[in-house]
Formats: sequence, C-alpha cells, structure tokens
Amino acid sequence: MALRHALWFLVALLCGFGLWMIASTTGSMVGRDLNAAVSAKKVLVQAAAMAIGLAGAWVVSVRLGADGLRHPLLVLFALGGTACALLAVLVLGREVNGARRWIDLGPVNLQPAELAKLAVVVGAAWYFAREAEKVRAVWHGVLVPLIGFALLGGLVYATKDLGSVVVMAVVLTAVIAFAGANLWYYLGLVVMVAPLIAWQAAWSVGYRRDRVLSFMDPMHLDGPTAFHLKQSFIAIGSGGVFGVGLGQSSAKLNYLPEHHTDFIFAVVCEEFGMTGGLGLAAAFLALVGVGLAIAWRARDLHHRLLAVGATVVLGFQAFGNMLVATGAVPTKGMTLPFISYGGSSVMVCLVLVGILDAVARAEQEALAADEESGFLRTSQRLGARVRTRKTWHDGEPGHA
Amino acid sequence: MTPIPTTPQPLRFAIAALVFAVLFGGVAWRLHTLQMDMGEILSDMGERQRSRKWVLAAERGRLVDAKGTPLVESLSTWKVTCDPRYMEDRLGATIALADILGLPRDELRTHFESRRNGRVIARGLDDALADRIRACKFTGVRLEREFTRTYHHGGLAAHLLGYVQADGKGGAGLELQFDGVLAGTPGEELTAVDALGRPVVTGFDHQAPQAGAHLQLSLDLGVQRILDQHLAAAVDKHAPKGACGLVVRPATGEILAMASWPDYQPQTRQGLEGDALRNNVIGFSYEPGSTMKPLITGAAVAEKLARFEERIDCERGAWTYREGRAARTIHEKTGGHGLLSVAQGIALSDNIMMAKLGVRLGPERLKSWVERLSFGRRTGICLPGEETGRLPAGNRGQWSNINEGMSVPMGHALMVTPLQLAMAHAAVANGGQWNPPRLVKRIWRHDQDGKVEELPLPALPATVRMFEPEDAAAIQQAMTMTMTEGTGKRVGLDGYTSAGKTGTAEKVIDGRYASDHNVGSFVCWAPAEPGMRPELLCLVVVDDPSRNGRFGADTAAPVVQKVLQESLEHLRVPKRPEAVAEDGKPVKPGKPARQAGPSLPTAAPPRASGRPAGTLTHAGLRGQP
Repeated sequence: MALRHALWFLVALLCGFGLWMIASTTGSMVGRDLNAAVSAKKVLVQAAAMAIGLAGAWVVSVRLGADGLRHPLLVLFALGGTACALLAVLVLGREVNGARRWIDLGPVNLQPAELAKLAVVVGAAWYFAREAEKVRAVWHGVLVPLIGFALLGGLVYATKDLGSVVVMAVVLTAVIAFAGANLWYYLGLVVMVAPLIAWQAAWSVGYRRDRVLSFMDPMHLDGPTAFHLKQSFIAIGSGGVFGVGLGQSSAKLNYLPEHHTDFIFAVVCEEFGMTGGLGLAAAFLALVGVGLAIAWRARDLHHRLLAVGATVVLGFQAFGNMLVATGAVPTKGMTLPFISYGGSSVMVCLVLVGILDAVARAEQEALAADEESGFLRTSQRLGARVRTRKTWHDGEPGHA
Repeated sequence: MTPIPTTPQPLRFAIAALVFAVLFGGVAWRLHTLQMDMGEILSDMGERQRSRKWVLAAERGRLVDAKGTPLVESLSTWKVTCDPRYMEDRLGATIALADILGLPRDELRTHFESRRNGRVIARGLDDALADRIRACKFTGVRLEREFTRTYHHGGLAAHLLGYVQADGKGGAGLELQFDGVLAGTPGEELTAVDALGRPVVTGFDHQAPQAGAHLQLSLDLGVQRILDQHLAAAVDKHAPKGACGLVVRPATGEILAMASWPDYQPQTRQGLEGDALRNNVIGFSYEPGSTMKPLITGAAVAEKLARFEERIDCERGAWTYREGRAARTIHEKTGGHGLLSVAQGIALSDNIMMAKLGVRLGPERLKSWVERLSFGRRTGICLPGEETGRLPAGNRGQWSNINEGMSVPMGHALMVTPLQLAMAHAAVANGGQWNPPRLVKRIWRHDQDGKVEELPLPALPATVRMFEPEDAAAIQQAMTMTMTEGTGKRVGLDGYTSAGKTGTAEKVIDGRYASDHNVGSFVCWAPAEPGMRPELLCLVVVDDPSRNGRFGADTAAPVVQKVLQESLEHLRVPKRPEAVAEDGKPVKPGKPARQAGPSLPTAAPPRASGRPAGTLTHAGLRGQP
C-alpha cells in the first residue's frame, strides 16, 4: 500500500512539475506578443496526453492487471502493433530535425519508438517468464531474445533513434539478468560486437560523429551539437545554487534548442539551480527505488520482470537524459520522463507506471489473501514447514 | 499459466541500485562542475550572448572665447535606423515614416524588406521629427543621437582649436589636448535579445550619457579675426613658406589670438597634410635674429656690465675680435655706426654692439641668461606638439666668446619657437615677470541634474622673475626708440606708444646661411609707457617670403602694426591723451592707465615716476646726442 502511494505521489509530483516547466519554457516574452497562447496550447496538449496516459495506466493496472499482461494475444498485439507502427513511420512519418520519428495524429504526434520501449518491457517479461526453465540454454536464453531485439531494435534504429535503441538494449539486459540467464554469454557477445556497433553507430553518420566530438570538447568547437551543448552548459551554469527563478530562464529565448523537450533539464537547472537539479534527480532516484522495491516484493517472476523492465526504462531514460544535458555522455535523443514536452513519451511513461502499479496491486492482493490466513504468511516468514490449511483444520479444530 | 515463484535476488537488486546511484552521482558531479566550478564563466557567457549594447553618444563640450562666444560646438541631430528582421509592422512603418520624413515609400520599403539589420534610413533630423517618430513606437526602428562638431568660424584659429577625427577623438590642438574632458562619457543602453536578436520585453538597462566639459579660452574672437585677416593678407602679398602670429596679454600671459599658416579647415579636415599639420607658433624652430638683441642687452645691463646711456664704439661696421690665436670679424652689411648709446644700438639693431656685449657677458653668463629667458625648453602651453627650440651645443657643452658669445646676442646659432620669443618679450613688457602662456580660463560642465560643476584648470609652470622692474622698463624704453627712430619707424601705432623690435635671420640651407632665404619677424607691444601696463603684445613671423621684401620690417612689421592698432581699438584701450586731443576727442587728464584688470604687478620704473605720462616717452634717451 505504502509503495503504491509513494509511486503515485512521485508521479504526480513529476507530472505537475513537468506541466509547470512546459508553461515556463514555452512562454517567453519576445517582441510584442508574449506568445501566451502558444504556451497555453502546449500545456493543454501535454495535460491531455497525461490524461490519456493515466487512462492507459488505469486500463493496465485495473482492467488487465499484471497477469493480464501475459496473455499471448496481448503480447502479440504489443509487439506486432509496435512493429507495424515503426514500419508506418518509416513510410509515412513526419520529418523533424532530419529524423523520421513521428506519425502525425492531429494534435498529438505519435512516436512509435516510445511504444517500442513498452513493447520490449511487456514482450521480454512474457518471454522470460514463459521460458524460465530453459533460460540458461543458448537457443532460448540468447538467440531468440537477440533475434527479437534485432528485429524491433533494427526498425527503431531505422528511424535514426539511437537513444531508444540504447534504452531497449539496457532494458532487455536488465530483464535477462533478473530472469536468471547466463550472463557470460552476453558478456562475450558484448565484447565481440560492441566495438563494431559503437564504431558504426557513432562514426557512420556525420551528425553522430559531430555529437561525439562535440561531447569531448563542446566549448571550443563549432557545429550544431557543440553549440547545443554549449548552450546547455550556459543554461545550467547560469543557475548557480538556487537558480534564476521560475520563468526567468534565458536559455529558452531560442538560445538552447529543444529547451522544452530533450533539454528541459538544462532549463530546470537554470531556473532552480543546483537545488532544483539535484532535487529532480533525487525524485527520479526515489522513483527507481520504489520501482525496484515493487520488483523485490513481487512473488511471480513475470511480475518481477515487468517491474524491473518498467523501472529501468523510466530510470535509465531519466538519468540518461540528465547526463546528456550536463554533457557527461554524448548527445542522444532521449526525453526526460514526465517532464519533457512530448505526448508519446508521457503516455508511455504513465503506462509503465501503470504496469508498476499493477505489479504492486497484485502483490497487495496476494498479501491481503494471505492475511486472511495470517499463519501461513507468518510460518513462511519463519521458514517453518508449510502445513496446508486442510491439515490444520484436521488436527486442531476450533480455529476459524 | 501458473505463477513462477521468485527467489530473492539480493545481488542483482544491489547491482541495479548501485548502477542508479552511480548515475545519480554522475549527474550531481556534472551539476557541481557546471554550476559551482564553471558557474561564473558560463553565466558571463550567457550574459554576453543575450545582451545587446547600444552606445549613446555623449555631447562633446563647447569651446568658447573669453567673452563666451561659441567657437566650436557639437550640434545634435538624430539618425533613424531600422532592423528589418525584428520589425513587426512594416506597412505601418512605411506609411508613417514616409509621411514624417518625406521619403518615397518605395525607398522605405526597400529598407524594410531587406534581410540585413542596421540600415540607416535618415540622418540629421531635428528634435521635433525625432519626437514624432518616437511617438509611433515601431519595433525595429531606432533613433540614435548624433553630434556634428561645428566650427562656427571656419578655419579661424584652426591650429589652436584643432579638429576632431572621424572616430570622434580629438586630432590636434585643444581638441586633442583636452580630449579627455571634452569627450564626456558615452551612455549605454542594454537590451536583452533572444537568439534571433529580437529584443525581449523584460531586460532593459539604460545609462544616460554624461556630456563633456566646456572650455572657455583666453582667446578673443575679435582679436583673432584681426590677426587672421592681416596674416592672410601678408601671406598673399609675400607668398612665404609659412607664417604665424600670436597676440598675448603680457600681464597675465593669456593668449588672445594665435594663427598659423598653412592652415586647414577643421570642420571638413581639408588641407590636413604636410606643413599644415604644424602649428608654427609652437612647432616652428627658427633663428630669431635681432629680436633677441633687447633681451641680451637687458641681461648685460642686469649684470651691471653695461648701462643704457653708455656709449659704445660700433667700429663703423667692421670689428675683429681676437681670443688667443682665434679671430672673428663681424661686418655690418647695412652700413655701420660710430659711437652709439646702448639704447640706440638696439633701436638701430647694431650687430657689433651686440657682439661686444656678448663678449662682456662671457659664455657662461650668456648661457645661463639664455636659459633663464626660457629658451631651449617648452613654455608648458596647453597644446600638443610644442617644440623646445635648440641651444647651441658649443664645444663639449662649453660656449666660447668667439662662437656662441658673439652669435647668440644677435639671435643666431640658437633656435627658438615664436611662442618662446613672444613670452620672453612679454616678460619685459610685464616689468620683468615671465608668465606661462595661458589658453584656458575656465573648465566647467553640467552634471546630470544640470548643476554647474567647475573643473580644475591644468597646471601651468610657475612664473619667473627674469628682469628687475627698472631694467625691464629700461629695455622697453630702448625698444620704444626702435619704433620712433630705428628700424620700426614706419610701423608706429596711431595713438599708442609702442615698443618693438624687428628681426631678420638668414636661413641655413645646406649648412650655410642663405642670404636670399630669410625668416622675418617683428615683436611689438603697446601701450609702452612707463607707469602704464602694456595691454597687448604681438609677434608675427614670416618664413621665407618669396616676393615684396624679405626683412622682418617689410614682411612681419606691417602685420603687427595693423593687428595691434585694430586690436587695441577693438578692446577700447584708451589712447594717449594728446593723441585723443589731436583726434578732437575730449582729453581725460589723470587717467593715463587703463582701469580694467589688475594693476601692474611691479612698481613703475623709478626714473619715470612723478612725471606726466605723455612726456616720458623718451626719458631714457634724453641728454644723448
């Protein structure tokens, strides 16, 4: 009960702060028009996306439940739907900043790569719970997941969204680890293929090379990414300890590109300083803690894998985004969960919260069921020999 | 599907928690680096990139003459510029500005449709037009104040006033010397702009410019005009290489007029090349010739080596001085004289007498007197580019009778500037007290509240006593004789007693004195009567005249005569009583001296005391043949 409260408290805090920051970052006062209308529209769109996301979370948590997520049809629908959406975006997608990632759906643009993260969580949890006994075998433990990842990740990679591919890979690795697979296989694989992939990924495309080089020395390089990172540094550095105050950011005066999406953390740090930046990071750390606690308590492997997957997606995205904005890792297109402007991202994040909630709820219900027969739980805790209820009733009558 | 019970996985959870803790630590580390270690640098960078600075021009101070008449002013106009990329209402601006400025709409549209910011639409607008444009409040249209340095009197006193360079800094003369106080402090307007350069409503900082200080000069516009006019006429008549003149008030050292030719137009900076760059009054070094003689004679008298009544044999035009095996013969080119009193020697400008006086003084005393008379060093006038002149080096620093001792007293072998010579003579006129040349009477400015704030005047060298008052009066009387009986006979003043001395020196061309290249000069002051304070002293130097005479008496003296005559009348200096009587105007007995200004700082010469002013003119010469 306490975990679910903590979970929803943190999510409400982050979503509220997110709306606030979107209002702040989009409402700049340039020229005569204070573009309040533009700002209000963005806040409304984001709030609507949050509402949809909450509805999704409710469906996942209440209607489906954690167990509903292992229905093969649903998993098939999630994976297949995502693949179709990715194919569709490659054909029909809207191009933004040279990347084809969005499907135009009127007021909201759908980003299938975000859906892919969700699909990976659901799919991986389903697969490894199902094949739990054979997971240490090469075929079931290594090749099948890799083939699946290659298919889905390849499609995401084709949308030039390396950040999402990285998130998917990390989530898959985490799920595999908690499923009990033989990690040595993966380690060997990583050692063999990683340099090749890294080279290919970082150097094959001009803008990625620019990003890597810029990351190494942003203050003394020209070029779009160096400029971008420099502006991010300027914004963060201007914040100092307590920041310049809400709405006072200068980075949003078109200096910092993506100031309300991928680089919103820089604006947070400028307006609220180190206090605000560390506070936000601490909130995400707390969210990760809650997620891991839910996973720890889960009694069913499938539930645990779902919780681990959801937690890692949220946590890795959040810290990845913050590390990119602060220049600790090379630039990747990664949103800050609940804060960045972007409908798909916030919807998917809320659905992931719904999954966590579903797992926690399942545990809660199981606990409630146990409490009806409190001794069972107590004896389990004490490690005593388990006696069935029937035996108990047979031996010592008088207990209800 | 049946649930698969989980096993506790403490290691895996610990690793997962550790990974996220490390990621959090990474964020904290980066935030610390960026916000603590680099915070100020980055904050400054941000400040710089988003603030756009406009410099608001400060009004440069005025230069006014002694009576407050403006000579130089900075006139304010407005410039309209536009930044088309930030404009919002191009159509409205086109219609309104076309109406206000009277420009064709097509021209304005060309400006407003340009992709480049900072286009100048119009300049030189007056305040009323500027106010109308400002009232329209168009974004992207800016009004900037501009100042035009205006020289009200064209090339008048160009070298003294100087000019202002295209960059707004003083280029010469007073404009350069006082650039710091005249310039004022420009104001600043800081506006925060977004990355596209559009101004942001909130960020705005305004600092009003501080106008520069004004200078009141000792210059008198009327006297300056008179000097300019007659010097220009002399230049036309004699076609010299250069010419200059100045008018000084001996009692105070104030410069009332200063002119130099070739000159230039400070407003347009035309003719600003070659010799025109030099202010000849302070930058031209020449051998003064005979204008030096009264000063050295005064030195000999002050040293009690001669008296003005004493008669000296002038050897009828040829004298040979021997010292050991060395000998030097001096020939008087214009014919010699026999026995002359020392005063007559000055009046007739006798070289042999001067050589004899030089020998009497001896080289060491002569050198110390030349230095005391302020030659060989700057007078300290508040103008850039003053020369020191040059004293003869002698033999290892030692002067000898045969060379310097005989040459310097007649004004050869040393180089002086016109200013040095004028100030030395002004000291004689001022009863022996040397004053530093004064140009600036007052420096003041209006502070932000419009209150007048006086600024300190530049430090000047101390006054120096050169001659005792009675010696100075005696020199003056000898020089008065020049004007009545000597070389200045033709250029006496009407109604004023004057004291003067001509000078003509041959220029050194290729190491030899060239008899057909001369520097002619004439120094004269008036009124030069015992008991009266001389009001004006004028020196004119004409360098290398090419026609219509070459001696100072022919080239420079007429200019000085006209300048002094007209200037004294312009300043309403009372004439001699008997002269006034001749003109039919009422005589004012008992008012021999002017009333204006402080009285003569030194006592009147004892020989002159107690006698009516009008009869004293030649007192020093009385009783001589």
